[in-house]
Amino acid sequence: MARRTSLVTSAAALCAASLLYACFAASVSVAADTAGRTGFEGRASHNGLVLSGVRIYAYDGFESMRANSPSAVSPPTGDDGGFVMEVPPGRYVLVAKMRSEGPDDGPLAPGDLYSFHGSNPVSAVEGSMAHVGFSLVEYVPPVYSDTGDPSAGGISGVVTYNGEPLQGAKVSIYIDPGTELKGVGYSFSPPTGPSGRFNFDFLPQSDYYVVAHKRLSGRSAGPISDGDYYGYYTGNPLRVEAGKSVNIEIRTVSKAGEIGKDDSLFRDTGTGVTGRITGPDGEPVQGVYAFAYTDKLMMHRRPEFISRQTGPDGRYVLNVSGGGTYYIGARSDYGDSPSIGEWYGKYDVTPDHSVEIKTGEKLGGVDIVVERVLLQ
Amino acid sequence: MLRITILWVLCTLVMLATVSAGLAAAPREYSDGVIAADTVWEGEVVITGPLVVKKGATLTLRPGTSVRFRRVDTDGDGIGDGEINVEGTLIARGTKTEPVTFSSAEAEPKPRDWKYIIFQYSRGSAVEYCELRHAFTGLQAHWSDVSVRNCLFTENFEGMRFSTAVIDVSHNIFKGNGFGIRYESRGSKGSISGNDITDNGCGFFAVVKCEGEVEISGNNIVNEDYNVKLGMRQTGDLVFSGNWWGSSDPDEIEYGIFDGRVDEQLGTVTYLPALDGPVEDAGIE
Repeated sequence: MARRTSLVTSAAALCAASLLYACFAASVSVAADTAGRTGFEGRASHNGLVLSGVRIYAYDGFESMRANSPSAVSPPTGDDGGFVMEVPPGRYVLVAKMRSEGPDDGPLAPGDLYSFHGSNPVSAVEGSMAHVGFSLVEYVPPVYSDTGDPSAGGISGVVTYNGEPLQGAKVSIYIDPGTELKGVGYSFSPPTGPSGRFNFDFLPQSDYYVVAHKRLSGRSAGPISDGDYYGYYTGNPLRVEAGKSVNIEIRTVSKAGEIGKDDSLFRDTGTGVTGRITGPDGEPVQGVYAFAYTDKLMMHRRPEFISRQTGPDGRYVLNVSGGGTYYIGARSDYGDSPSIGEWYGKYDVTPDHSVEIKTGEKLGGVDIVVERVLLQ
Repeated sequence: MLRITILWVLCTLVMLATVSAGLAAAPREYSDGVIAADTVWEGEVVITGPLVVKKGATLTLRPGTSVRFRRVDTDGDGIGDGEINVEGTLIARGTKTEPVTFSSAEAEPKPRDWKYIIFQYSRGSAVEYCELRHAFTGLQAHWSDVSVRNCLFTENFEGMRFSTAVIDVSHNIFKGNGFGIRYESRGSKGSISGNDITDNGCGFFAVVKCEGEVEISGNNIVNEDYNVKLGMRQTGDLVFSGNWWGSSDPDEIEYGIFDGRVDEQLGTVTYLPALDGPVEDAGIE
């Protein structure tokens, strides 16, 4: 008996030591990825979904950006939309692009994807990797028409979000990029109405940077906060010619709102749920997202957190920002209202589809059954 | 002795009868309720807060069933919290003489005393010969297939609301509501026909993405402010042919429609050919 007890004790000690070593090794490995490096890391997305193949261009100023002459270019983003880019310490204008003509920097073509970081210029601090996220929108070329007034030009257009007019946005135009596109600028519009439209008349011939903001606080200035809308016209700088009016669409994105509250949503936060997504026949369903709302209504807006798409085994890991009550479901699309034929289901063990998660807990066994919406 | 025994027996019988009558009259009560198995209601039912009919369960309401909702507003949004959330199936079938009723339990009932009956991802539900009063929305249907026939929707903020649904909405009366029917079609299928949609603030409110395959015809649509109103993002054209608008005069018909004729950003409602008189057999059959 004494010999068996001794063996058990030794085995337990060995397991504990192995576990400790594994944890240490892992933490060292993670630390080694970024320790001492200077630059930027983050994720690129489009329409709320992570996007691979995007490159981040870092320019030392607006003139370099205009000349398509970057100081550094990242490798293409991976399947998780992530990138890492090392640069010397300094301030950079960061832009994400996906050009049909390839990875070399250059002008945009219709359909190309583009994102100008709303905090530009961004600082790279010695020994630190700053996290930056990009929500890319499509480049829509400007349309010129004659005004009949040879003395001046004009800019008109619409501010949109997710393809719909955005009411309450303010559009500012800047001539001098030295302003870093902050402050009042050369002129600004009143808040857009339900049509999202804006208009500037009697503009002198020049190049203009056109930017739209909608701050939920209602303030006209200050940094963009979570939930605010921001749009940098993809065709900036915009040429205004005397005698011509130019019509544009400014596609806005919501800061940290495109993919939950944290655009590094797949990062392991240590808190979340795991489970398996199956169809009504009990078979795993591939290609669906688990999602979590903090509102039991689970409607009318995007969920705060989503998982990666499931693989052939239907398993998912859904990270959330902290402990609390979350309302859980799964679907095959992320964005608009579920459509006919789409996979959709809610966690059905609790009447209101909720789970209670403690901070630091990964709650397992949160299995979800999905069905095709309204298909017979 | 015999007399005393007889008296005792009679008293016992009277007591038993009284107790039985009392028990029969007591309504079934739900507070934050869950129906997870097939259930049948009849008589009086009082609901406080939300009640959910779980997927896989069928709730059946027999003719004459009265469902009343207490007005409790814990989230302070001005709308009572009472609701029936149907993720399974609801079969509420009254008769013309014994309708199933849904209404407020308050002494002075008013619209928004309770929230709605809401169908979400529900299959095979039917709401027939029912009366729905005092709700925010009498009935909402989303991603569900529901038959709504021969019902009265009155004194609600909205009579009915739907999106991405397969619906049969026929021979109902929508009267005295803020909105008769509010919808975002989003791929819905089915028909809205033979209804009296009259004396509401607005008959139809087409919010957005309302183009689609729901046929809206054979109705009487005569309301106070607008018969059809398009939401600010409804830019596509809509078809409302074959309805009666209270008049055959195009000017009068168009006066009751808020569409691209008023705001060029909106789509245009096609109302021709319009009926030249009211649909006689519209409403409850």
